[in-house]
Amino acid sequence: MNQVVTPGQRLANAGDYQEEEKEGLQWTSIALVGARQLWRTVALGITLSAASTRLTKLLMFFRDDFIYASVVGRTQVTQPSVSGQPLVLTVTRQKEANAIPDVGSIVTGKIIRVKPQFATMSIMVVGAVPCRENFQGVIRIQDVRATERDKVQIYKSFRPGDVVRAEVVSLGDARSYYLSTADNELGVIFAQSMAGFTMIPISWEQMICPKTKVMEYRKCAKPNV
Amino acid sequence: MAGGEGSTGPGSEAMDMTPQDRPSATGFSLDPETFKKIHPMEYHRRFLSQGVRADGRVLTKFRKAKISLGSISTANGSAMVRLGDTTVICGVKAEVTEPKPAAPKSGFIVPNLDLPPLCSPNYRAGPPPELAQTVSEYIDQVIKSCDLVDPETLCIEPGHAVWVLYVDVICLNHGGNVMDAALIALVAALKHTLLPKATFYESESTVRVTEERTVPLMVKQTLIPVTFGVFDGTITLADPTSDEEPHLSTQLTLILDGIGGNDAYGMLKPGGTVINRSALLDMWELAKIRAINVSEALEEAFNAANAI
Amino acid sequence: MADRKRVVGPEKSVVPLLEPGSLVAFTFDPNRRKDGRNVDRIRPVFMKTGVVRQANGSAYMEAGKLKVACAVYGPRQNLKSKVSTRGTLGCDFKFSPFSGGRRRGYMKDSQEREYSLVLEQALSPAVRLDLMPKSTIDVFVQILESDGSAACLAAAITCASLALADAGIEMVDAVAACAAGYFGSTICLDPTEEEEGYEGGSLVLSYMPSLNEVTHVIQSGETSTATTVKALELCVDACSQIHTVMQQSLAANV
Repeated sequence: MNQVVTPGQRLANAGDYQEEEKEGLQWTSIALVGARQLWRTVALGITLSAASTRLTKLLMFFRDDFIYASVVGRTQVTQPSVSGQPLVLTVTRQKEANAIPDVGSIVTGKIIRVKPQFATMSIMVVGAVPCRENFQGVIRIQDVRATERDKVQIYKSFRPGDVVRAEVVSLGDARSYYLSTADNELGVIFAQSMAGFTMIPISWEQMICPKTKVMEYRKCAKPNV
Repeated sequence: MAGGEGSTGPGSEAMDMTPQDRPSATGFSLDPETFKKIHPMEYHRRFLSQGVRADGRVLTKFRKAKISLGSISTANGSAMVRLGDTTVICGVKAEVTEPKPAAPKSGFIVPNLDLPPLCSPNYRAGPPPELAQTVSEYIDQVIKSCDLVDPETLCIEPGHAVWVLYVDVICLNHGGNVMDAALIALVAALKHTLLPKATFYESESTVRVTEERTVPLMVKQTLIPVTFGVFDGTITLADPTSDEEPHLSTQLTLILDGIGGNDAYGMLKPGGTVINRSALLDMWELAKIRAINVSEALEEAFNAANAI
Repeated sequence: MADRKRVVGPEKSVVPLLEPGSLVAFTFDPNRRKDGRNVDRIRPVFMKTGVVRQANGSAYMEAGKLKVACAVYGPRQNLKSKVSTRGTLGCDFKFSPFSGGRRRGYMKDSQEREYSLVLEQALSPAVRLDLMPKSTIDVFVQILESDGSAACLAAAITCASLALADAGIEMVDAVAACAAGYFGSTICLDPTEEEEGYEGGSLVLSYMPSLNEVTHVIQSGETSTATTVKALELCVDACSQIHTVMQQSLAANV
């Protein structure tokens, strides 16, 4: 069965399915895993964390003993390959919704302002999905790196224009999400030197300009290749 | 500029037709969508260095103008124009007003471009954005200076009553080059406008009109706007899209007649970098061909509208 | 009202009156509607999604002469800085200047402000705003041609809900809306502008057919309870018909 669904379409009796509790998986679609079993969810590229119970209600919802679809897409019931295993009810969305940052998501963006206590970043990409419109985030001084936090100086970590990869640590205040670069893989991934050339990282805290050989301080991300 | 020899600046690597992941100097690879978002200038530069644009057109190719007329029955004249993703709709409403004492026979034409927040994520509710203001103002200047419609043909009773034509252009999708779409729509809508027969009754000093609209508006010329963008100061792009517009170093709009492209009615270059003379002359040549193409599309639209 | 940011015309202008002779004596009989519809029939509807490429989702709808375009942006950052664990839905309803009998200004008038609010109230229950903390969804509706104000409102709600679904925004159901006019004891569905001039009152129902839930209802004018109940029933049926068209147009893209 592979069927087109629209919001509000009834998919199944709720009693036949249960929500599946699984973590750390990357799903490309949301599935209710069935025969009185599991209801799995997850949007593309988002890693489920234990805290994000909100995510588990994506694409489908329960009401009055029934399960309904809440987006336009396709639904599918997968028969188990081994008998005794549950049926899986899946909803795959037709169109990716706007990416919005959530706690735990990895975001990429540009530094737009640097202050002694924090750097302000314009979040442009969430996971692998570019945002149509940017969100604002801040990297506070205590979130720049994991160790020796008291020695961090913001201007030795980021400069306006740097492209930074960071993790969302909280939904933050009214204006900004709070971001952290306290991990090896997080930090500056692209920066230009004073002379205007793309710099190469030489350690986790320094980058070098290939033309002028001037070294500048940055909180560099560890290259992933 | 793009891909300078031996430079480690972005753009130095060998390029594919699509700006795919490249092992960048910093060791991070970005997928094309992300790359476009983070380094938009570089993204376009890579395409242009290959002689194509991000939407697949060659540099001097225009998007086809699709025109349809008379879809709004509440307006005296209307036209919908599409240039690629850009969609505008123009409606003409005729109302009656008193002429100015200095020009007792002259009617009014009031053109406005509206860029509602519906048409692009960059606009919010509130006063019109700068682009809407500049385009409205410029169009007003052009149609006044070239007498697109003789204001005296809008006279009902000298000194007492004249027509005022409100020409409102609404952008429904801002895919770039709104200026061209707006002016084409305005000219098409005016040419398609029918006014009712109006009589001024001295005794009750009011104007009464017939229910049917039968009087066509006398539109003198067919103005065809042709807009170019200049990228990195040297590369001429015809009919820029909204992806390209924010990164252009300057823009140029030429306004020609639609018959042979031999008469010029306007030229606007709002600041930016310089355009050298030979590039400017090339643009005029391209504009002439474009003007003829657009007026053919207009012609077709009128034939289609009359056939119904 | 000086507007320095637009091209302004003469201070005052009027829509001219018709010649006395051209006014045909018109008596309205709800059982013989000008367009040949039965009292319980809505105008034929046409819907299309994805018309505004810049937006996250969009829809265009025609019902007879009535034409509506709608674009949805978001979820995007809420610029009005107030912290909220739920998302917010902002709606904006606008008549185009040339959409009706008299030219409309660019400033929102009280009717447009009221309809913006109704739109928000009618759609909010359907959108799963609890999934979008700190964000806002903006819905913009532009009437290109109007034909009956209650019908415009109903079309705006339907079209906006279609655009929301097209944007991939999580909803519990698509909201369909329908208008009805009271002509004495007769109820006419989906009255046109001309018919509206003769009606004693009107009702606009916003309804989620799959869940069988009403999100918004607004009635004006005086009728009996029995008539109102009957009107509601008629509207519910019509909404289900509209909903089917909505589902078809959404499914066409999958």
